[in-house]
Amino acid sequence: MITVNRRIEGGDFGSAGSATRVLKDQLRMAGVPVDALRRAMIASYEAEMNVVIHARRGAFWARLEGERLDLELAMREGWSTASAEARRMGFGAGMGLPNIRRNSDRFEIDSAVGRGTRVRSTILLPSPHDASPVRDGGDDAVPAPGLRADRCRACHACLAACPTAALRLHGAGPRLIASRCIGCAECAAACPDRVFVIGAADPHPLVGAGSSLVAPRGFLASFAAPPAAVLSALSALGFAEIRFVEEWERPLDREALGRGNREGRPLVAPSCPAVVALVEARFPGLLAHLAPFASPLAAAAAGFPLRRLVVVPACPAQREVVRRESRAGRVAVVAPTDLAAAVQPLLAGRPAGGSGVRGAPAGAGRADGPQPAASPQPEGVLRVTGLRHVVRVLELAEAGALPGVRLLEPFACDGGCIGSPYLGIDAAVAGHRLQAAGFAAEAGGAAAAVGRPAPPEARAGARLDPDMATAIGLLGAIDGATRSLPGRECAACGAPTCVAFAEDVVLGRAGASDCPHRTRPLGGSSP
Amino acid sequence: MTVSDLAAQAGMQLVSPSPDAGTEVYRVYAADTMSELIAHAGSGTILVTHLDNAQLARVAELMDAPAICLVDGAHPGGGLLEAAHRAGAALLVSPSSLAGTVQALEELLAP
Repeated sequence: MITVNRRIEGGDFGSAGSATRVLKDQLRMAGVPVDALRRAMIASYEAEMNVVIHARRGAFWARLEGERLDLELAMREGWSTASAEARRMGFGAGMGLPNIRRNSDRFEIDSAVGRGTRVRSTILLPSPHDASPVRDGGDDAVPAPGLRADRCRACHACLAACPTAALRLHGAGPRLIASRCIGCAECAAACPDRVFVIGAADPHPLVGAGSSLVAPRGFLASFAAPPAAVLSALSALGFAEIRFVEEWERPLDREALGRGNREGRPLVAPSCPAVVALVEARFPGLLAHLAPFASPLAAAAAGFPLRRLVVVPACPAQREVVRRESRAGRVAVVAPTDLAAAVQPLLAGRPAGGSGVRGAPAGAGRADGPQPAASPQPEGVLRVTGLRHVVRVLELAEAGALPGVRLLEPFACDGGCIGSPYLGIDAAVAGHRLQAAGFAAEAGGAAAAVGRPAPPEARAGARLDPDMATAIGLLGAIDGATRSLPGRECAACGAPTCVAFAEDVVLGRAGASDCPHRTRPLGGSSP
Repeated sequence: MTVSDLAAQAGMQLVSPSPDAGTEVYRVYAADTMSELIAHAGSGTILVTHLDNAQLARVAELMDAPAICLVDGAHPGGGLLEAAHRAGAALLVSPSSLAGTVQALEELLAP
């Protein structure tokens, strides 16, 4: 299956490398491992440049089939030596073909006068049998938020915010591509209309005096009243014990640090279930580096074997963790907004301002950038918060470019769970309030890390299909459709990008007529 | 170390920052041929070179290298400036020679 097929003009240094750029995007969508991707980029770029430097014109093909990537370059005779312009640019040192050969598992070159030159490079990909198993992310396993489509005014803010391009606005209200959602709450942070809710709560979560409560520490700071008053109000609701999920983070770090890193890459602490879902969907190369522990919230749930437990999740991903734990019927879930509604009347007479959970615009719940940790991190631990930063640091971890880091502790929300938009308060303000009230330190003497019950599995996520061959076929069709689109990236069709729209058309999620700027029929609309 | 911190501590001029000022650099690689640069570029690599052309930005983009540094005080031409901006790569100018620049960067990036 051809994924890239481009004609290349000799001497056109302006466009040189563009075919390789397209190939890079497609290989990423097909889920090609990072090492193979890197070798493909070097070989492909050098092949393109050989045509630009040495030929009047040529053709470049890239085919991804099964467990191999074939790159093929065909060119007619042009110039045997590089031009002065090419040399000034740093090309023509005779290293192009050796670079292709070095990065190929198979390399062939065939050159004859009158027939031209043909170079073929093959890069073998890891066998699917060697890789982690891939699950398709069916609804049962997906930490997606609940949707209140009736509130949506189609502002499109969520489309740009979603880090995995999981949202569409083709019809009335947003639509979620469940297999891509990681439950990170970025959509909730961006939405001004509170369309994205944390998910269904249990019917009577607050009934049952004597239960234990586990909540994000930031919940205490989301009211105008002092944190101590919020604690008193929670006690008045009948909770016998009130604990904070952050208490289970430090024991997990300690245990994970004792394991050390592997193959020059840090262990990744599974503290944030949204980040774990991101690794499963987008960084399968790091699955083996996930520390073998359950998330802090799952550990918390396991820490109360005899008592009924009520959990306040900070995001849809945490809600999914609790949902799995609650199959035994012992753990109940209450959304932060519902618990705040119960607490608020008990705070009457306290300083005015109400609950940030209920009153603040949903889109205002994020600090701009990572927040400092509540206490110094142990040596070798890199804590990174905010999804944009997390993605970049995971890319570095995957590339082995984090020397000196033994444990990576990533959180999707700015500042950790305290930055959840569902708490409705800026992470920095919440941290300040807690610190001023003496609630910042992680105590939790009884908290302990808990082993992960099952190994993590790669999720289809950004991949079009768990089967690489099928994904490649779809990629070809999407590439054809994308080239027929105007490329305005306007999102007027309800997809975040033109490529995402082409994908929707090919996969039957949208019709070609949804693009208001289309002037010609879409090519390659079926695989 | 972030690109902006690196520029400040090494006495370099940050001619064109990347869209994200917090981009981290972990290693340095210097060369004056494109083949060597692409063969050794990677995530977290700052590329140091005398070369000044838009293809440098293409190499940085393909290999996820966050920054390019020109040496000997040579300011980049418009082609590289524009291409680096499009590719999201930071562009720096060092007043030192290639060897001096690499030595300074390696000292700053040493674990």
